[in-house]
Amino acid sequence: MDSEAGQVLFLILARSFVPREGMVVDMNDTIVALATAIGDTGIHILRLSGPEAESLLERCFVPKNKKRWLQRENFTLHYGILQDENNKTLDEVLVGRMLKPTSYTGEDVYEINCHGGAFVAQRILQACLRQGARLAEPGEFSKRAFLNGKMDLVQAEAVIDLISSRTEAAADLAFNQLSGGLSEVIVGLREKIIEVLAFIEAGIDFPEDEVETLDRIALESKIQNTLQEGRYLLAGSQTGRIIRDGLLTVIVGRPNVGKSSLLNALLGEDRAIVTDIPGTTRDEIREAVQLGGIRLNLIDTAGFCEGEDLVEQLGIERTWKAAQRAELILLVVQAGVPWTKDDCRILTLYPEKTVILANKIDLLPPEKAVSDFVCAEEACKDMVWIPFSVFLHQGFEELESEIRRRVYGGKVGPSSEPLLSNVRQISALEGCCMALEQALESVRQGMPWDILSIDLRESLRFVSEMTGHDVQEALLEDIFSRFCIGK
Amino acid sequence: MEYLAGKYDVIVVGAGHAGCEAALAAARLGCETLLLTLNIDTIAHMPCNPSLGGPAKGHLVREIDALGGQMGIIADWTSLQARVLNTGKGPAVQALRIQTDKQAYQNRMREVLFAQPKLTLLQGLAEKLLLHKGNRGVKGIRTRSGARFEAENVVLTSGTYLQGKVIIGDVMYAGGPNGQSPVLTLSDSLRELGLELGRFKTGTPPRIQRQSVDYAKFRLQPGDEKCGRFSFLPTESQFWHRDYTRQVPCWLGYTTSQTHAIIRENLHRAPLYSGKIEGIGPRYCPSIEDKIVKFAQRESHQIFLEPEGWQSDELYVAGLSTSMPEDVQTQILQSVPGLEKANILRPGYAIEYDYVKPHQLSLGLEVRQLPGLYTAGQLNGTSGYEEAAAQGLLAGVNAARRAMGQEPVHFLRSESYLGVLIDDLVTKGIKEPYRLLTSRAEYRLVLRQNNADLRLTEKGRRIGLVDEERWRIFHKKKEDFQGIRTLWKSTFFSPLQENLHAVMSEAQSTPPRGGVSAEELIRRPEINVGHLQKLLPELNEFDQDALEEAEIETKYAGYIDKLWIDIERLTKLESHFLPTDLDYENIRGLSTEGRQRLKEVSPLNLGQASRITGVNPADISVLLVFLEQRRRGGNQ
Repeated sequence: MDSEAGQVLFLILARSFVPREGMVVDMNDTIVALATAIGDTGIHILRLSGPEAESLLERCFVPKNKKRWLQRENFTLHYGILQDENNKTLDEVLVGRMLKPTSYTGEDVYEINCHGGAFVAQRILQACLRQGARLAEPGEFSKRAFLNGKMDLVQAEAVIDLISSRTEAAADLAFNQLSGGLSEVIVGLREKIIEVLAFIEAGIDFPEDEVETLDRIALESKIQNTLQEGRYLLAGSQTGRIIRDGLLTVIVGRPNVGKSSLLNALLGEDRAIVTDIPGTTRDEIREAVQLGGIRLNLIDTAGFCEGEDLVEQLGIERTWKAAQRAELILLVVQAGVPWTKDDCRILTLYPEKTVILANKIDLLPPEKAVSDFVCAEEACKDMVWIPFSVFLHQGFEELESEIRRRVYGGKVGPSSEPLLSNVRQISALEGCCMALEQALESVRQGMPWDILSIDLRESLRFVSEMTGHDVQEALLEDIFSRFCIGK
Repeated sequence: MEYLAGKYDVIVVGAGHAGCEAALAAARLGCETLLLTLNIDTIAHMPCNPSLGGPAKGHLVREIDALGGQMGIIADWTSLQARVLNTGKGPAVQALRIQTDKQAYQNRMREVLFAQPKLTLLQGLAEKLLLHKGNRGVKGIRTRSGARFEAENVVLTSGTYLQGKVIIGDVMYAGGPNGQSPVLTLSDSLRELGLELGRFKTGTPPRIQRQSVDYAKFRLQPGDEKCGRFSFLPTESQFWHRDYTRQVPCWLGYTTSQTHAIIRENLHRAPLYSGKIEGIGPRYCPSIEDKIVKFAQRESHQIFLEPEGWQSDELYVAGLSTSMPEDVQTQILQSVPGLEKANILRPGYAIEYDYVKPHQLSLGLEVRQLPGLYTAGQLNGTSGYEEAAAQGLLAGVNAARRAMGQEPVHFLRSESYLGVLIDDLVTKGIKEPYRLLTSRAEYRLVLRQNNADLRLTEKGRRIGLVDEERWRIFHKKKEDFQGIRTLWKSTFFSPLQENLHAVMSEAQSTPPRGGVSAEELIRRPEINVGHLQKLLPELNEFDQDALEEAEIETKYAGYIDKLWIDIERLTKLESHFLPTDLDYENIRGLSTEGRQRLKEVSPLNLGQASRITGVNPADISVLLVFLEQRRRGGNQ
């Protein structure tokens, strides 16, 4: 499980980073990454390395023993509070200090030990990014260690392997593998920025051609619209929202299949029962549990009540409504027993958001392969199913991994509302929105076009980090197709 | 019969805009230089627009000038009209455009070439490039008439002549621009040497007789009252001597639906659509038939009539570039209001030509696989006189430096448009005739036309092309610039100062409540140097250009500082040099595409490598580790 969790983490952090216009590979900025595997481990460690690491922490770390912190003694551990940019406490943490040149990378390195749970770690990671750190590229800590003479020549080979192998894998997760809705929205955002920029650049480079121009008001409203779209997308960003609010979950299945035992087992596993759940009507949430670092907000449906007959009219209606709204459906079936019509219908209606738990595998004859029974149903084909036994406590880890895979892979959530899914994308989108805000400010101040274009280009560079297009060529193409230019 | 006709340090083949700058630079740096041209009468010819400059191109002319090149000075001297474009669009993109007298430009350039010590001008057609046996270095050239000229350094600037093919409607013949003869054998010689060539197309509009125009139907396009000039040296137009009222105007008119109908009816005779043209043409310079097809909804397109000379009877019809048959060209022209009786003097045409794919060059414009051979100008797939001249200057300088046993010079993207141009050509490669645009420069705000001297004169001085006069003028401006900034920092105005309120209300700016420095005031968007001059009369003693530069640098300091952070990062990467003998095939860990592209471009440093399409940041990381490995390995 650890290796898979590690892979998930890596996929999140290493998602293909594309060269951008005027891309500068910086060797001296401050980088950050999660050093532990994602998931509900006891603690998480975030590693910061670079010249700005200390000043970054000055801004968001409040040490308990300030005097000791200020002594800057090497190889010391400091207890304190980590805050976000609004001075809101994120977690109690231990910060380890390893100064250059004796640290692993040969730069100032700080390690933040925070409480387990992906939620906390992600929030701290994002806080560091907002304070100016950059998400580390694959193998980047090791690369710096080597370049700073902290590793010998033999180890260099390993560093290169680390850099290149991880990049090859990351390339598999290219932009076009994102859910269709999301890529469309990001491409749309990018096109809007290009459009505004095309008006400006065409006007600048072809001043005597009949290029339509935008006046300040039109420009302002175009940028404003684009910014709104970016902000909307950001507000709904997958990881952030799900980590913040949890995943709306419903457990369905016919009577006596083991729904209640599953619920009880989940509750028994639970490390933090959450009572305050924003954005949901509290009285319809029966319970909230943590699984794999993800909060599952369980909708109270008829399906929950052991012994309740699904045929009963009211119960059916509530269950189906809940299934419709849910972001995750746990369909509990009994391994080896034929499915009901309702079981099949759930799968047909919501194949994307359903996970099948083939329960009671402990009751199967031992000489038979589990898959023979579970996959017997036609509807089950190509679906994610997990051999499960609440009784033997089997399948929980697989369920955890599956949920994490979906959340961090951008594969949960209502399909009508595209959501961003990983830290790098969210960080890029935040940068894009900030640049657009600056552009808006520049328009309002009456800044000239060439200044305004700097802000817009910056926003475009951030979007292109997500989409991986050649900005320069895209812009020229837009100009030449939009305007009739040339003598 | 081949015979040895002479030995030189540098031979320049072709005397267009690239060739002239190359030859002058090499000779001025002290090299015995031969400039070989097809025809001494057509030196520095402008076969297309009779104008120089505009956005990015104008910046380039000023850079050529700051480095000690010739184009700006001659353009000023032969200027018919000067206009600054983009005045309302910001400090970085304002650009001077000058209409020149074509004939005078050529004559003046020829005089300068003749007067240049160490420079020999000769009419002849270069047919073959000669190489040393074995080491493949360049040995010289042979002309069609059998003359062998020897030189270790050859700059080829043969423009659009290589395998030139002129196309007018259904007629097609081998030819160079404007009725010249083509060069048919040199392409093969280059191919034999292993150079990869491509084929591009460009075109030009018809020229008409100026007496045949009804000007009442056109709108006057005069020059500026406050006339700019390209050169940082005090050069004046020989024609109108700073009396702006004597400038020659251009004229603006429009095509009509009738024009468009004529073109549509005759599209089947347009070589662009009948498949006769194979070369790729520039998107930014479409022919009129292209515009009608691609922008079918447009009811008219604008046309500028530009004078070709002070006394010339010819007008250039900008906007009507075409390769339609001659009879159709006449109909098209005569459908434009005001041109009903227009006489065509020279029909428009399209021309196809071979170009050298520029990824084979170094950042110093030397062909990497043929040491001593340099290519510049339209031969490298660019378009435009300015782009050509800039490349010529660089190639001439580097050919001369090689002759003198010196390292080549390079220009950074962060330092000049010249750097952007060369890096784009070599690093990114081209798919259409390349034109420089300001939007190609990521550090546009620091690459202004008015600070070209502040950016480049010192470099030009080190190269050896900046003379005493230019050096003195540069120093004065630089000192003024620094003096102004110091003065602004140290001058404070009290809110009680007499005319402060008057000036502030004139500028529609909120009056400061407390004391305020001149620097703080000029940072306000609504305050300009003019306002400050009223508060601080000492400013009038400074150079006006220096004042403007100081204003821009202060007002936009936030943006400029941010750019400099980027530039410093880039500079760091560019200081990691990649040995030319690096075998990318044997570097473990590079991505497949990255390896391929690195092999093709053979970048000079990591900065250049990072800009190659297909090379990703992980590849750069791998190279960094590899270089460190190699360095330590070498130390052991």
